[in-house]
Amino acid sequence: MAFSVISLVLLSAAVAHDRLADGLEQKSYNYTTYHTMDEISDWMNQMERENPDVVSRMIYGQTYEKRNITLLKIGLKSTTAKKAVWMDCGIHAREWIAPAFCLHFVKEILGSYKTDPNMNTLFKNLDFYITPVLNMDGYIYSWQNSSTRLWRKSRSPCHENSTCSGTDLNRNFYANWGMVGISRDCCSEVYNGATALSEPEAQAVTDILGALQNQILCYLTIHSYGQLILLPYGHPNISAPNYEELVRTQACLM
Amino acid sequence: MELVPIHFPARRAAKVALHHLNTLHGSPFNVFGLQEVHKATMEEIDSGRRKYSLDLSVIEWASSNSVFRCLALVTFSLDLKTPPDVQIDCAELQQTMLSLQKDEDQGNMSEEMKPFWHLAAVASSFIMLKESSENTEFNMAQVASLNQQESREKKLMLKYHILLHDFVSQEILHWQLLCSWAPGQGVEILEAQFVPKCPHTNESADNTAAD
Repeated sequence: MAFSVISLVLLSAAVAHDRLADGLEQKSYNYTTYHTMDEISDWMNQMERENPDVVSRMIYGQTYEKRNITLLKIGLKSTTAKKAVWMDCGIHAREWIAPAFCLHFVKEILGSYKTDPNMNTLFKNLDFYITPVLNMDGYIYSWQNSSTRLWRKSRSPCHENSTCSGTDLNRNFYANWGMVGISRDCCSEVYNGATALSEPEAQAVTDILGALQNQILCYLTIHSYGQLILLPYGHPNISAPNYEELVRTQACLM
Repeated sequence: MELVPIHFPARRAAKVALHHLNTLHGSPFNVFGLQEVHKATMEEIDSGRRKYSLDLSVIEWASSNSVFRCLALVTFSLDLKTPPDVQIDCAELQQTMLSLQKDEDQGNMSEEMKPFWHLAAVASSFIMLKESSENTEFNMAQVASLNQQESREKKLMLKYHILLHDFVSQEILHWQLLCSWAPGQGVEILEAQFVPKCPHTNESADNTAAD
């Protein structure tokens, strides 16, 4: 079981990735290098094309700059509604390793569900909803040049007279909004937006999770750095009701 | 007295000049060797000391294979206990000293650069210690660049551009610093300067999100 996963990893690493060539089908994708938004979008199309029985793309909103926020829904098709595991990467533009991880994760699960009984069971019983790059505007901006590489927030403008812009999408959700760990200064890296869910990206996630709320088993959001597994809620005095269960799950993950 | 550049008297003096150059600027990545003596003269000064004046080319053979044109003065004394005295000046030498550029955004670093990364982490600690409060949580995020300066008093002199990250404000803070290190003497910060963010495109000149 482990051998088949490892051999797949070695296989894709051995084939060089040529950014200039047409036709991704001919070449193997390089999961150990960072990719532009266009390359990631092409890859998503390719994953759907190559795995039509388990992968489908879904657009669930638009960014401030009007890009389609897209996820891959991955699992064996079922006639009944299935439980869901949500994973988003790239909420923070500069954390490039997070989208890279999402791609790697998809590659791993697609490469093992046919042969690994545990993965096969997961694919039967639930769907993975995976968004490789949530903050597409910010991610693209961080690729522009070395002075934009460290951009973190969205690309929406500030509401007051300011040379700054951008809202920290991960402070914009309607969950104890504005209470802790934020700044009301639009120039700050942790500016939480004019109001809760002022950002279309945060709104899009909220909408789809709302629609899936009876199915969601687990919500994962991937960032860098820290080697930390963080548990809800992001408030020093408030813990999630299922805190104990989360701690036990966390122990398994480590 | 004019010397024949390819004969041994000039060559021996030139090699002494190279030894001196290596003590000043040598490192695991910069080692200097003699490429060619172009011109050499010798004169006797005071009581039997001999002063060689050299125009030579020097090659850095450990990493860059760069060639430098240098002028050197090498003075030998008669008494064997006194080492030769050397003065050497090379054009454009500063630019090629040990430097680590942020040329590779994939986050990879070669094995041999790791000690310098570790040194950066130690040097950063001096700054992070000074800047910390109950409202900050600092880590060193990146070594943006490293340039070796001329060694001073037998210590390695390293000029760093370091990026610190504050977890609380999520700000990336740029610091330029000059630190020294020698085995047994530890790390010392000689100069440290905060580099404010550039006042262009969406960034305020001094980002004081004071919360």
